[in-house]
Amino acid sequence: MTNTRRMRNSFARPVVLAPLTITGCTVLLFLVGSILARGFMAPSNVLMLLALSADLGIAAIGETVVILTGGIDLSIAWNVTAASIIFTGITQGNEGHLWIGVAAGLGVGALAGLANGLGIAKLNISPIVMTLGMNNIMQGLTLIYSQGTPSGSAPASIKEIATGWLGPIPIIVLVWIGLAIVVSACLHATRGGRYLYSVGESPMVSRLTGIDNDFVLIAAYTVSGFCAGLTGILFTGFSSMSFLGMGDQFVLPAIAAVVLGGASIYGGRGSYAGTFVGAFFLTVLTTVLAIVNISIGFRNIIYGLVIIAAVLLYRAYTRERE
Amino acid sequence: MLVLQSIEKSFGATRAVRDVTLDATSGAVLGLVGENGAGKSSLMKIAGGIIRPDQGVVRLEGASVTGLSPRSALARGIVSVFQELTLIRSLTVGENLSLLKPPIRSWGSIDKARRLREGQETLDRFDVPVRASSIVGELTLGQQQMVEIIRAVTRRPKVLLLDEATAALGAPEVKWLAGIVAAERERGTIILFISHRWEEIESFCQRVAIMRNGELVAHSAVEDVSHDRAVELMTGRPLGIAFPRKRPASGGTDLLQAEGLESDVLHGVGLQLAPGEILGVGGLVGQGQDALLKSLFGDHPLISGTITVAGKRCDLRKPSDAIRRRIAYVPQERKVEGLLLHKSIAVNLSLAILRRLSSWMGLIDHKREQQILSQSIDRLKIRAASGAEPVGALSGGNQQKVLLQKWLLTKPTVLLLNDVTRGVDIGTKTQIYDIVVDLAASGVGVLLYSTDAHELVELGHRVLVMIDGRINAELSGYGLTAEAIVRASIGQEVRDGAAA
Repeated sequence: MTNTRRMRNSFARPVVLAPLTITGCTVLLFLVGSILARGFMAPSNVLMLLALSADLGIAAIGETVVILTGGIDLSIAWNVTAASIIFTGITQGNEGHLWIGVAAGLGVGALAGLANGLGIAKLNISPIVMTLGMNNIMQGLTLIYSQGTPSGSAPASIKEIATGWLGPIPIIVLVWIGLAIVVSACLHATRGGRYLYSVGESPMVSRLTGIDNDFVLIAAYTVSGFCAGLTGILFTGFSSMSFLGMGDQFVLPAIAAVVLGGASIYGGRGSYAGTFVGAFFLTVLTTVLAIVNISIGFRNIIYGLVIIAAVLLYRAYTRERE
Repeated sequence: MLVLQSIEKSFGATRAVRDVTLDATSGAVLGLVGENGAGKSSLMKIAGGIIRPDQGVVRLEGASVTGLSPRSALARGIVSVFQELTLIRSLTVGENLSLLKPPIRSWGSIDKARRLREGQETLDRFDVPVRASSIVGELTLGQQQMVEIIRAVTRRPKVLLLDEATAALGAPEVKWLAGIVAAERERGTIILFISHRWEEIESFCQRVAIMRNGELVAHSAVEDVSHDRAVELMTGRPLGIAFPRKRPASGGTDLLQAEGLESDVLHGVGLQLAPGEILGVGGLVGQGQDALLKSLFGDHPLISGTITVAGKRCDLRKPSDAIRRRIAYVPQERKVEGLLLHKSIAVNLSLAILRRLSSWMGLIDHKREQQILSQSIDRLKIRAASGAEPVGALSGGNQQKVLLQKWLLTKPTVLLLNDVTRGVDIGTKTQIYDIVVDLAASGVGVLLYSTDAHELVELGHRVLVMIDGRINAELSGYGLTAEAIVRASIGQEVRDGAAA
């Protein structure tokens, strides 16, 4: 009896426990931070840190969707960069070309994602190989397009979205929270969301239920590319220009945020709420480590250890099942 | 002498082996027969040290060899050949043959030329028509099985366990194996041999043990057991299952017709299914029944053949094509093919009908979903703490109910059932029987594949028995008995039975 009960619980546990754990860890980090620096827990600082997490969080939307299918997207780096460079190249800081630039940036990201999805679903290429290859292709295309030196700058309105405030709240935080609500609703309350989880947990069950697995995969990678494009545009607003390699900082942290948020790297389980907190946690961790003023080498080691520790901890949550 | 004493083994709630005591001596090959799930393979795996018994001991020449690891069993000369092959498919035959002890040069590197030469010598010595340099994955299943067998023999076993080693072999290869087994017997090896085919037991074995429902029901010399008596002992009578009364099929135009289905597994299979009819499909495991059901569900590629649903010819390329024509398929492996174990009962139940449950924008009507959930739980008496409970936490019987209901919710006109009562408790079994018979009475056509001959007899209006991708016999009326099904399964009535 007790045995059955334990088994029963372990099936549902990680979905709830992991986001709770990472939320607890974030609170803990804030306590540590406030010991080290006065005002670390002040609402304005919390909002500031949220604003700093937003670009990563938005890139991690796509990564969440892809990881839920059991895949991975390593092409975020140059999708972000390509979108940004095309965006500034078209707009040249000119408000008049804003919408063409946005459409081009998002379109480039989505197209790269579509290509990823087609390769993975139709040609059966493993996600790691396909997206790594796509990352190189996007790097090459970007270098050819920009001839090595990206030109232009972000139009003022994008800068405003990325760095401006609406009353007491940074606009980018509102954008991120808005997107988070939409994404969570799509994942949990729509047919497409159900199919995504289903394909991720078992492609076999999904196929035998009549779900078009290929379509679901292609859609997931396209969404991921689109999100990378959006991240590129918003990050351009933040840094007010585009530069080569600007997307590199997003790839591994986006995957880390998804994992810290409790999603299974094998697919089928996880939530965007978890990823949201995961992305925030990583930003707070980076900030706290910066305050402590330890060398960048140690910072990276701690960063890596935290991710491994989280995976071990989450596995302990599910262990009884195995 | 190999002695199995008072062996008990349960898997969850099923007692696979019940208090079996058995001995095997060198000089007399012991055949182990019984229906699927009778406990033969479990018993053999216990003898081979692959699984540990809950109770009882295994002794080899007086010393206990109970619950060894596969590796230490091998070290004591206990060698097993299973249905599932253990060769490494990406390596060559020669590499596989000398996997444990490759020929080594004095400085430690593997002598590849010698490995190839010795491998070829072994193959030639045993008359296996295969090159040592061939990649195992490129051989036919039968050839792979032969390589597996000679690899076992070259390990000079004291005990040789053959679990359906003939399953993938054709008639000449079976004869070849008979020679090898006879030679091993003369060498003094203790041999246990599992087969479904009685004529093989007669030609390979001197003694035979018959199992049913985990129990040993007979153990004697082969010549003392007639084939009829063996079939009787193997089938027995299932205890405590009340089958619902058969009702006549309503007749009318066929819901489903298949003609000349050809694929890598199926060879010219045809059938008709009328409204209200329960058409049974029987035969030994792996004779193409799975492929037949899947081909009717668009999940098994056909080379040729036609499928007609409700009078219209159709091309079923993928499951969604079949689902659209209101065909439902309840798969055999509920945990792998049927259910999302980490998802709730509600999510599993609505997965196949999400289109009906959601708006054009894709928003799911959660209220409607909850209604369907509570109705389903009531109707099928699914025992669960709540509908939000993950399906993986339910008992096997309750999981099976969820899976069946998932497909019943699609309101099918043709229901394909792939051995859905296997490994299910008796209570759930009878419940599933009632549901199936009621559905048929309401005009649904049911194609029921089962490994349980009684189930086919009691539920089916007609039963097709398959051998090797063909329909070997069609049984109905007074000719439809469990014994007839078992006979037809092992090719007994090839000539008398109505050819399909």
